Amino acid sequence: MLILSGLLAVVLAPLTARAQYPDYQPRNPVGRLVSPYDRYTTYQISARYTAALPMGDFKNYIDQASVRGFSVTGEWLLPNNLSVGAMVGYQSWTQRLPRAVYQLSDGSDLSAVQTRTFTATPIQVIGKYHLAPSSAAIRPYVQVGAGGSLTENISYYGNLSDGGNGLRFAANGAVGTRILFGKNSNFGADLSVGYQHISANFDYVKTYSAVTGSVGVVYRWW
Amino acid sequence: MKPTKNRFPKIAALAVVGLALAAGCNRDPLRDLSPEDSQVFITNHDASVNFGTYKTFSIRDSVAVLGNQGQVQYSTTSRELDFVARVINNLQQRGFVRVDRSQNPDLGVNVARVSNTYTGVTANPFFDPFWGGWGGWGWGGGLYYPQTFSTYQVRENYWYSEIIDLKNPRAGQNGQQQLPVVWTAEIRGNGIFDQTSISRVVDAVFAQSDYLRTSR
Repeated sequence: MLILSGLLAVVLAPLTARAQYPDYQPRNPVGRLVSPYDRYTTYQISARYTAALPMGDFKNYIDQASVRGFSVTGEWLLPNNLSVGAMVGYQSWTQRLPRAVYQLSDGSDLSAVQTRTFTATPIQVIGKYHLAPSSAAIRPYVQVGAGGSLTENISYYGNLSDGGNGLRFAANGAVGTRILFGKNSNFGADLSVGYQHISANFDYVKTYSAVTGSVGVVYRWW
Repeated sequence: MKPTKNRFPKIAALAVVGLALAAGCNRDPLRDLSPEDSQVFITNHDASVNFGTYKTFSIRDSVAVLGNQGQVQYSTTSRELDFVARVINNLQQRGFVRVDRSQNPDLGVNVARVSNTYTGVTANPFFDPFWGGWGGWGWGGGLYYPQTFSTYQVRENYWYSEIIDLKNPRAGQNGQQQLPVVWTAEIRGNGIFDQTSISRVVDAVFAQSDYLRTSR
């Protein structure tokens, strides 16, 4: 009984101390303070290179990977496991089809080499739930986001163009992890896989969806 | 040190940089398109017409130069004469016989080089048929035919050809008789005015118009 209550006291003491004295600074065995990243709302920016594979209906329009994508994110890292921020992205798709004859709606026959393009510049609010404390060297997360995308969908026939552009609803989801270059480093790497959606509603592409993989660099500060 | 709110502009600045990068990365998707691959051949025809009912055609030995200034000029440079000759050659291969205009041809063939200076909006659909009239370029006798070249997204010169049915005038506007246009062809893209390309581009529009032949 003595051992059990002693153990309970050891486990509960820091928790209750924290609850009673918010400014209490527990020290780890070597006497360091708790990281400011675990105490305050801090900041993080990241830049990622993104490659993507087409999914769903979009795959019927372009079935090759996009290797031209990136995003830049700015976030507030809350002292708990959440962060919120904004993400500006860019993903560009191009696929060329060999010369073929297309029948147009007015009955014309059009012979051309077709170049299909889809370009998205999403601007989204994002939220992350992190599976490790803010100060952790390796910090996996789950991310969701939604916003608008400046989107362009053009099919070129030879050098004639047909298509449209506009602001469209965009959403994304991802899982990833941040890996700091050192326990107390301001810099780190970011790896993630995700999913992009845009309610495109153009003549050629109605719904855009893609699976993405990205690598990036992270800078955090407080 | 406790972070303060004046750090926010860094994030805003970053977003601006990101947008600028996105805009800058928008490369020209056609930059690696060869002149030949840039060429577009558009043909159309009156599906109710049986070309087997025609035998003779007439064509000028010159090319009309159409601009958006409204006036029509005729030009006879060697490449233009080559173009006309190739059209004649293709029609003859399809069984048609060239006759003089005074010999009541069944078909009238026009060849034009359209030289417009419209600047198009790339987002607009380009197959937007526009039917009107080429002012002052009729076949005489109170007859006219509707304008058939489309004035969409024109930032370049292109070849245009059409075949008019001269033997079956239809009732048109203002009590006039209208000559139906039974076939049109447009040739667009880079390199289409190169002398060495002319045979190929003319052959291309006939190749995709297999219906265009007399009965044998």
